[in-house]
Amino acid sequence: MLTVEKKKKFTADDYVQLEEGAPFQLINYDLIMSPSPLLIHQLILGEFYDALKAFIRETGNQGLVVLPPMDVHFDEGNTYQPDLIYISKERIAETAKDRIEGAPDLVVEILSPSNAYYDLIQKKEIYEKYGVKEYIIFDPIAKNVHLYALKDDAYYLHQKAQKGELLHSLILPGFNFDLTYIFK
Amino acid sequence: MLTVEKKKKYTADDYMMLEEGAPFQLINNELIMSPSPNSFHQAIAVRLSQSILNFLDGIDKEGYVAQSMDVVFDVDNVFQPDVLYVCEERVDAIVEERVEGAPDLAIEILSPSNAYYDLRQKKEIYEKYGVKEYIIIDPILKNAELFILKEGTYSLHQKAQKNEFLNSTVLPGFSLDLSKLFKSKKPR
Repeated sequence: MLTVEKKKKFTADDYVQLEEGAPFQLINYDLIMSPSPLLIHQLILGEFYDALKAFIRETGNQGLVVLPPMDVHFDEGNTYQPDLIYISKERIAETAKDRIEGAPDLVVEILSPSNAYYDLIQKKEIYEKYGVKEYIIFDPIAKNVHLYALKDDAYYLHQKAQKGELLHSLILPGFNFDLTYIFK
Repeated sequence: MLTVEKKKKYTADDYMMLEEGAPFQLINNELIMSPSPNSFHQAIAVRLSQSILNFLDGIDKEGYVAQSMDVVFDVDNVFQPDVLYVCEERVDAIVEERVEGAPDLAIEILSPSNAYYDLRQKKEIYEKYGVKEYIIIDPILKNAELFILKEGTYSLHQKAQKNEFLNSTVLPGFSLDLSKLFKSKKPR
């Protein structure tokens, strides 16, 4: 059995060689396969995107909201496909290239039990390290959502919300996502 | 597709009917299969048990230490923590054929394929039923987090990297050398 040290280190260059749509992310130099999403995953994504876009339009916000598949490149060992990203107008020039280079302002991930480890641990550390200001994690099984906010370069849990409650964004003040849309 | 409501809810009785050694846990009424542990995972679990028992011997205390032992929390939750410790004073009360109730310490070693349960659902149940100290070992990133119960909720007491020592609070004076824990020695 290969030890971690002898294992091949994949890089961002290897990652871009994968065929289009290949269900992988590059996480700490490892190619991690994404499972085929469950229906509830896609329904949550659709409802959240819908609500966020409506808010963006109504408030005249000129930021970008992007759905996957979209490569977000952090460094040589980390290129992810978050479930949803938001980039503020001020940061579009520096991040929005052919793909996304560097930290979006907001990232949303919807957990699948089979690979939640990456969203909860490894990707969270990279999002924190590179300055994703707000990190929202939906748990379709436990029917809750955690919102982490960056303070002094580290995440703290700003809000944990259950069904029947509203999720309040910090970086988009006034954006309150009603969890009854997704958690019945 | 079945909604969560129509899905069969398994109970502790169903769990007990499984054949001995069946690699499952009952987590919020669901039978969740545990992946076959890899050799590194096993080595870590064994060394944890050894370290705790050596410490107890050194202070002349008897506690109960077990690996992957059934712990019955309620009718919806029967887990097999990777390593558990029950203090001497509570052994008679909760250690029967299985462990009936919260150990003083639970340790989980994450596998990417089912870390979700250790990080979320099992952590909530450990918290709810009063497991005083919960240690989560990440064999991939080679670090460990130690949570202690404070007024009914877990707070992160210590996060240690592979060259540091993890200090228990339920076993005062027990200091785990993580550099030894994460060394992977293969016999030649």
